[in-house]
Amino acid sequence: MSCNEICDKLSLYIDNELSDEEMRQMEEHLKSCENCQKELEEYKDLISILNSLPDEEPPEGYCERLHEKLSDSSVQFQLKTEKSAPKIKKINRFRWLKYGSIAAALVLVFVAGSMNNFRFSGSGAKSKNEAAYDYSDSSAENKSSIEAPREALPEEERYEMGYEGQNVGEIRGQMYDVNDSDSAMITSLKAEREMKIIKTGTISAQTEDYNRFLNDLTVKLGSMGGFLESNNTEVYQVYNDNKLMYGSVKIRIPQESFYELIDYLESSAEVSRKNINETDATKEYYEKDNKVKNLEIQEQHLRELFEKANTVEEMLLIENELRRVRTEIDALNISLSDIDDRAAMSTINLEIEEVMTASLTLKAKDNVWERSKNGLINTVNGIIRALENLVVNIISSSPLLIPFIIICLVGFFKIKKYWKKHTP
Amino acid sequence: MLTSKYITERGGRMNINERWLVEESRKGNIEAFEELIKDYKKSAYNIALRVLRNVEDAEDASQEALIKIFKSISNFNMESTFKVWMYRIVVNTCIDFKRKKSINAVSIDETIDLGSGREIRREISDESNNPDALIDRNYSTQLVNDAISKLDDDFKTIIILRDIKGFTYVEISEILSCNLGTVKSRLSRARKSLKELLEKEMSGLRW
Repeated sequence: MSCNEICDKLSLYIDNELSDEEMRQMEEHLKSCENCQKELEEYKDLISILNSLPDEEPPEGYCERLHEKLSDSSVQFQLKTEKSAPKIKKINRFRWLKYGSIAAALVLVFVAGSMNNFRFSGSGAKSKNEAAYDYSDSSAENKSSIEAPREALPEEERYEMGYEGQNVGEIRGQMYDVNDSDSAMITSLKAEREMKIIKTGTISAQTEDYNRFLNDLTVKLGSMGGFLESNNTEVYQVYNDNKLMYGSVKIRIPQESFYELIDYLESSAEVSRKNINETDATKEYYEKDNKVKNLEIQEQHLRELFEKANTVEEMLLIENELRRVRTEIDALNISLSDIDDRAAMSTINLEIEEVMTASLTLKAKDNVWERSKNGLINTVNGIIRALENLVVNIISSSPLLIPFIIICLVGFFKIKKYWKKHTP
Repeated sequence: MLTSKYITERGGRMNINERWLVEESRKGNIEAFEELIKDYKKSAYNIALRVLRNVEDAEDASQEALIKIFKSISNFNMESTFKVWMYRIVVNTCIDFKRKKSINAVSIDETIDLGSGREIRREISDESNNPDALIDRNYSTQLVNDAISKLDDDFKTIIILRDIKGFTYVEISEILSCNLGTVKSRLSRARKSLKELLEKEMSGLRW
């Protein structure tokens, strides 16, 4: 064996890991080779130093910290020792923090969502307000368009008012022939009384297509001789890209077509509330009518007296009296024409709500299976809609939400770090 | 309580007490486990300290290893001794820990930036000119420690296990999961390498 080979095996020789044969060769060589002997001594020295290298003591609290960590991990064993209790508390605290931040984020989403809704309805940027006043049988047409002062969307927010001939002040009394007043009074008293019945209806309905419904209604009204007295339309909800409309419409319809129109409404929309009222104004009407006639007779006499008046003083007195009578007649006539108008043209107050699916289309006579199927579909649709809304809200509020979550996470990790540091 | 009741006998093979403690530890009994590792945790810490050369890391790594042992004690099949099994985990954990740390490893005599402008210079006692350091046949403990720390991980591990911890070749082969021949040759080369390192240091000193 060469010295190099011997050197390579010195390590094994020291540990007695050589075979007997190798051992014998090694010992022989070592007796003759001083270099290798020296090498062996050096190895032995080195190993003895290594063997005697002192173990360092673990730092203070090592065992306690180890115990703490062991207790932590033993929670998984569901072994509850006394010392693991504070750790559980700690975990609970973090759990609270975690769920708390999730809850806070959700609250934020809903706040942001409701803020969105508020913006739509509050600023009224998308509400449509139209009112048309139509006083029939007039020739003069006077349309004026007034721009609302704070309009963001002029084409939608148009405030249109059409005045068509004002005949309100038309005075019926003027139509009576003054000279025939006496006979007119008699005939009026003897004439068969015409019933003055005022019909009003209040209807709430739902429709799936607001605009189509309103257009159809307008056409129908035109054919019946009615009209929309006022129309107040607004967007009350925004569903995805659909704007759901809500309208409050006042319809005037000739009284003979009143029930026809109600039937029409019931067939074309889902009526959820209907209230029909008929008021008999006949008595009131003819009392007022008689009063007018008496006053007119009185007026006639006053005019005759006026002709005969000699002094200025007398003339002034009679003129005063005439003016008083005339005012009374005018007031009564306005009231009469109002009753006439209301009796001839019935009023229907219609509230229309646009819905995604007309919820009332469900046939009540459906069998159990059909109904439960529809109920299930509605529920699923509701869940899907709610989830869609949630997603929309989360995305729309993400500029707020993301910084908030980042802050939460940073805070969470800071606190976690703090706890790690300060709990032994 | 357990300490007084069960006196652990130090021996190469698994004794009955150790078996019993292992069984108890499997049920999640922390006290039994602590009793089981009572004699080993110090050497686990020291192995970690030699591999990682840093007190905090050594504590973290050794405790990580011990917890790993506790969690996986149900996987211990009693075929090898508990000692060998647990040292295998300790060594592997320390090597892994070092590997993970190696990205931001620091040189032992470099300044460490603590942030915000503060710096500390690692204090390495310079004993090259100290005649007292040449006692013990010219190998000072400090020099040996430095030399060990300069070894490759493989060499370092085997030196620690054999010459510092005194494991047999067979045990080492089990701990490192390699065959006996590898242990022999690696140990030879490790010792040679360590000796050369020390000689280099010494020649530097003598100069």
